[in-house]
Amino acid sequence: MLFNSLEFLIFFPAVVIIYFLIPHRFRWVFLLLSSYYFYMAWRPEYIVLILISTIVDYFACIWMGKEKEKKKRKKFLYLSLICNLGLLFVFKYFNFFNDSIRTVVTGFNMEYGIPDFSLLLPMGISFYTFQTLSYTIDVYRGRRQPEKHFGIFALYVSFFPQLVAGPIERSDRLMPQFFEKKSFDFDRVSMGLQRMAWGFFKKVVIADRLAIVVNNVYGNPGQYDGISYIAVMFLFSFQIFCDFSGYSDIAIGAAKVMGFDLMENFKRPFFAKSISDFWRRWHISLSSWFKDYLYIPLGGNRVSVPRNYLNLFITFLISGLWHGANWGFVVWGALHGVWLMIEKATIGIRAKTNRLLRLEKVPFIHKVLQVGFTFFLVSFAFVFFRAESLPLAWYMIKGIFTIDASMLGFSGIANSIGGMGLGKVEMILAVLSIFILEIAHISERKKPLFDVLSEKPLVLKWTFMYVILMTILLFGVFDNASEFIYFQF
Amino acid sequence: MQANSSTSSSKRKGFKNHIFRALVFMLILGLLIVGAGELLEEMHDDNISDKDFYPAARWEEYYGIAPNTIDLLFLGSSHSYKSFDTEIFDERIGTNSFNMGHSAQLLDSSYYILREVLRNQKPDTVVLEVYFKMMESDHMIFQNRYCYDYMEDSDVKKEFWKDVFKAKDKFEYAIKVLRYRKHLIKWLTGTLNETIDDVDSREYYKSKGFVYTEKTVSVEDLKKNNIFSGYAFGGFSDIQYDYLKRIISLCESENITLVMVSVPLPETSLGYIGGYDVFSEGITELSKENDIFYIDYNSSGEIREWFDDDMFSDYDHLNYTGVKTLDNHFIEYLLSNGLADINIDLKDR
Repeated sequence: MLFNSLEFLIFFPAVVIIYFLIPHRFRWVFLLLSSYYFYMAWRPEYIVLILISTIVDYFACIWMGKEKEKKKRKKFLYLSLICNLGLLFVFKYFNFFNDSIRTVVTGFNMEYGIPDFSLLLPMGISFYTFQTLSYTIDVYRGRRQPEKHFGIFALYVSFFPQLVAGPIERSDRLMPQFFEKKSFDFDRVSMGLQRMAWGFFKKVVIADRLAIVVNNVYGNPGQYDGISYIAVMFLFSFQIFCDFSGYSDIAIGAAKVMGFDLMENFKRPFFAKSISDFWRRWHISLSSWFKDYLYIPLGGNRVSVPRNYLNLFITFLISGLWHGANWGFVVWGALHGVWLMIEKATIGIRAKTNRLLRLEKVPFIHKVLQVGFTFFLVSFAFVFFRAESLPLAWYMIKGIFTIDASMLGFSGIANSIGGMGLGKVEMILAVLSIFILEIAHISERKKPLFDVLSEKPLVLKWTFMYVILMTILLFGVFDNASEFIYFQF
Repeated sequence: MQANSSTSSSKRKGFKNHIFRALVFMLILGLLIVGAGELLEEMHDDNISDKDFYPAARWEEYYGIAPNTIDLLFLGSSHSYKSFDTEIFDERIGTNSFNMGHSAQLLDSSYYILREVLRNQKPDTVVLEVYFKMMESDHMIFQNRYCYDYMEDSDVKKEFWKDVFKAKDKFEYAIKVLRYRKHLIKWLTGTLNETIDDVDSREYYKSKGFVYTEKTVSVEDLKKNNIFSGYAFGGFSDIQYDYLKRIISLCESENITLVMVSVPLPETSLGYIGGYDVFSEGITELSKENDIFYIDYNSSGEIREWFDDDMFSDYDHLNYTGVKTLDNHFIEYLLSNGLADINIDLKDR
């Protein structure tokens, strides 16, 4: 079920009302059934995969809990890893690796007879697989006791607000909340609903409007020029941010309405001053997952410098692959790995340059330069993320570098941007919405937006909410309710 | 005890306050939504009173026609109302024809429009224009804007609403602010008083459903901005295929001659469209199974060559030179296959 669908508009209030009306002891059952229904509204049969993950991990951890020796626990960890990563491999990566091997083998004029699977990628499989894996690994490491309540564990795996696109929650944060008795709290419900509205605004007003332009240019690159490629390079950054953080806002808000706190997934990522700073602000639940369960086990930064660089590169390469079975994602991850290696390797040089240019005396300009350059690097890497193939990404990047002076006049730029598929007013709306978003981000420097807002007079709070809600109704793009980009991961 | 009672009383008061505030918030929001909806509806009414809004003009003219006088009816997408000039047919073979095509008319809409027409009219022949894009889509959002809004209240209209509109459409239709919100963008762009379809002095609603176009697309534009670049026919939608069969049955039961036609596309566009043969063969097969005439101008080798790229107004619609060529050939096709007769009475007149 899509958050931006009529079904959800009926489903969610119904779930909330019933949830608060029924006694606490039945609530987990109700939430579990609701979560399964939410998932099955997409493809009923794929619930089996969630059930397999749930059952295998539940018992693997229960058995692990009975073993004191790490060695004996390991076999149960392997059972969980093989099951979860096996499902992920079969449904998400088999065809990708099979195609890649086929290309190499047939390149040598040899025959290759292994056919592709004809399977649909289960929605959110990477999210719930990683969520349940973090639990299994934590139990294996002895960081937490196995959960004995099967229902609560099943709910942890499938809790509907964050089931298909995160935030990827940790068991020690989310699971205890399911045992707590939640009462109806007006202020909390109101904050949750405001957060949801903000998420919808980002999704249907900004992301889905920018998607029209981005899809046009990426879909027909031959019809556009380098100026358009640069424009969509930056616009896609805002599109994916609004799409994904919009989803996270709705998820966090929906959970809040019911009394649950989910972790924050984004913290003004386009204000990052470096790539490492960016990854502390972007998809935080995933980057912290990779840090805890891959980067640190590989040795993290407590190893030699070359090994540390390798660890970084491996982590980001796998992070790229996590996003999708496509070489574009791999290159995107690899680029971030490279950016980080360069960032680490040039700390000294950059500090010297800053001193030489006396940038510390003009901190604002220094910050603007840092933020601008980081945004450029992030947007540049996103070209590989968005393009459906490496040749297309390469074609567009080459196009960016073939811009000549004649294209740079006001009319040239206006013509290029005006011809990208949005009318003048629609384009102004998109830019204005991004402006509102960034104003909100600036106001969030010290506190989250809705905490800032809650301190304002009622008239101001309500006016803000009316503007958001009416903008969604009047200017939201609903014609072809689009899925959230991260559903495919 | 007293403290407990006072806490509980203040809690109750707090709860009441919250309820009150929530209700006021909702009330103001409701008023804003209703107010905006009314304003947008007004903009819409002003807009559709403009004769150039094809669907409004078409339906208004249709309901003004005397009952049981239409003998040749055209149905289909924009390819119908931009290809079949009712005046040419009426002049040449003495029919009283009407074109009830509208933009992106899916077969489900064609079916209900035919039923609506049959409430007052009894055409001898129905020409159903079949366009591949209308056969692959389960659903589109144009039903209300182009047809439902203008249909007279009747059981047919009720059934149309029940069968074709999805829950989301019904929801959007019921809330005026969602139903008419497109007019706000048009108002902001200052084009509200222009027609919804792309109109300039070279394209206008002529009469009896037909829309005249004299624009000519350049070959360069056909190549550069062709929307079919990378497109492939997505297969037949079960829903639309089923409605096509329902149209066939309805015509059979009403003793109406049904003719299906796919109008010419520019050669350049055809070159981009993948899987056109799948579409054409599918319709041919259905027409044979049901003993219905079907002519596909894109697969009929010799005739296809009559339509050069300069006979088109854009990437897939004919201009008036193309229309005349098509209509004259199609009239010959109808006559030679005994699908229409020359109405002598009218000719004599």
